[in-house]
Amino acid sequence: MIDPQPIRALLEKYWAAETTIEEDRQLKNFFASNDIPEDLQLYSPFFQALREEQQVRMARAAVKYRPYRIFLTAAASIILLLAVGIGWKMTFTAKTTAISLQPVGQVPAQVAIEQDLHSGLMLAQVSTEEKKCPAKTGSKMRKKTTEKLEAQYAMEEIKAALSLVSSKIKKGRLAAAKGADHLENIDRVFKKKATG
Amino acid sequence: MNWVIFQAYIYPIRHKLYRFALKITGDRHDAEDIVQDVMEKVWKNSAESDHNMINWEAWCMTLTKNQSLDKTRSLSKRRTLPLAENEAFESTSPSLIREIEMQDLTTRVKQMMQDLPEKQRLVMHLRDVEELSYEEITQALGLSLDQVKVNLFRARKYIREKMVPEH
Repeated sequence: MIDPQPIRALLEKYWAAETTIEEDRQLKNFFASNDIPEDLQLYSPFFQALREEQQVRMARAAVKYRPYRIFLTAAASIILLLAVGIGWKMTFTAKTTAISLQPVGQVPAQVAIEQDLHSGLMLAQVSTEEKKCPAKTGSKMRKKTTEKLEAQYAMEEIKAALSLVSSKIKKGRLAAAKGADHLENIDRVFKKKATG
Repeated sequence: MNWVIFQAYIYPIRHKLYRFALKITGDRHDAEDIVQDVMEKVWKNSAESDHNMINWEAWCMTLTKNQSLDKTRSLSKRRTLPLAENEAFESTSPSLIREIEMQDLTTRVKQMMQDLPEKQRLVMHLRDVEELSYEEITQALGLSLDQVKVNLFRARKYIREKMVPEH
C-alpha cells in the first residue's frame, strides 16, 4: 500500500489550489488505485469524475462535409450527366441519320458492329419480318426498333456516366479515409510524445 | 493556414476543444458543431497570423469558449443540474454495491462541477481535466493570473464543502 501521509499533505495543498500539474497527476493516480485508506475514500468520486471527463472523446469527425458541399457535389454530378447526355444526343442523332439512310437489308450488320449483339439481333428480326410483311408494317416496326435501340443506347450512356461519377466519388472517399488515417497517426505520435 | 501547422497543433487537440465546448454548452451536438466551426475558422486563418501565434492551444480554447458562450446565450439553454441544498456525501463502506454507489457519487460530483459559476467551472475544467498551465488558462479565458488562481481555489473549495460538509 502507498504511504497515505504524503498524499494527505498533497491533498490539502490541492484543495488550497497550490499544487503543480505533476502533483495533481500524482493524486489522480493515487485515487485510481485500489489501495485507498477509508478516510480518503470519500474523495474518490471526485477524482473518478475528473478521469471520466478526461476520457470524453468527440464522436463525430472534426472536419466533415457541410450540406452546401453535398449540394455542390450533386450539382456537379447533374451538370456532368447533362453534358454527357447532350454529347450523346448529338452523336446518336448523327448515327441514326446514317442508319436511316441505309438500305433495310444492310442495317442489321452495321448496327451489330456499332451496338451490341442483342441490338443487332433485334434489327435482324425486323429485317426478316419486313421481308414477310407489307412495307407499312415493316416501316413501323423498324421505327419502333430504332426507338428501342435509342433508349437502350441512352441507358448505356447513363450507366457509363453514373459509373464515372461513382468512381470519382469512391476515389474521393478513399482519399478522405487515407487523410483521416494519416491524421490519426499524427495524433498518436503526439500522444506518445506527451506521455513519454 | 499552413497544413503542417494544422496537423501538428490543431487537429490533435480536437477532443480537448470538444470537452471544453461540452462543459460550457452541456450538449454533445452543440459541442461538436462548435469544434467544427472552430476548426474551420482556424483553417481559414491567414498565414501571416500563423507566424505571430505563440500558443495555438490557448487561442483555440479562446475561440471555443467564445463560440460556446455565444451559442449558449443565444439559445438560453445552459443546462445545470442543481443539487439539493446541504446535500453531502456519506462515507461508504466497502461492499458489493460499492461500484454502483461509486458511479452514482461520480455522477453527482459531475453535476456539482457543472453547477459551479461559469468562471470557476471553466478554470477548473482547464486545470483539472485538460491540465493546462496557469499561463495557458489566463490566455484562454482572458483572465489575470490572480483571477485564475482565485477561481480555481473557490471551485475546489465548493466541491470539497459539498463532499465533506465540515470543511
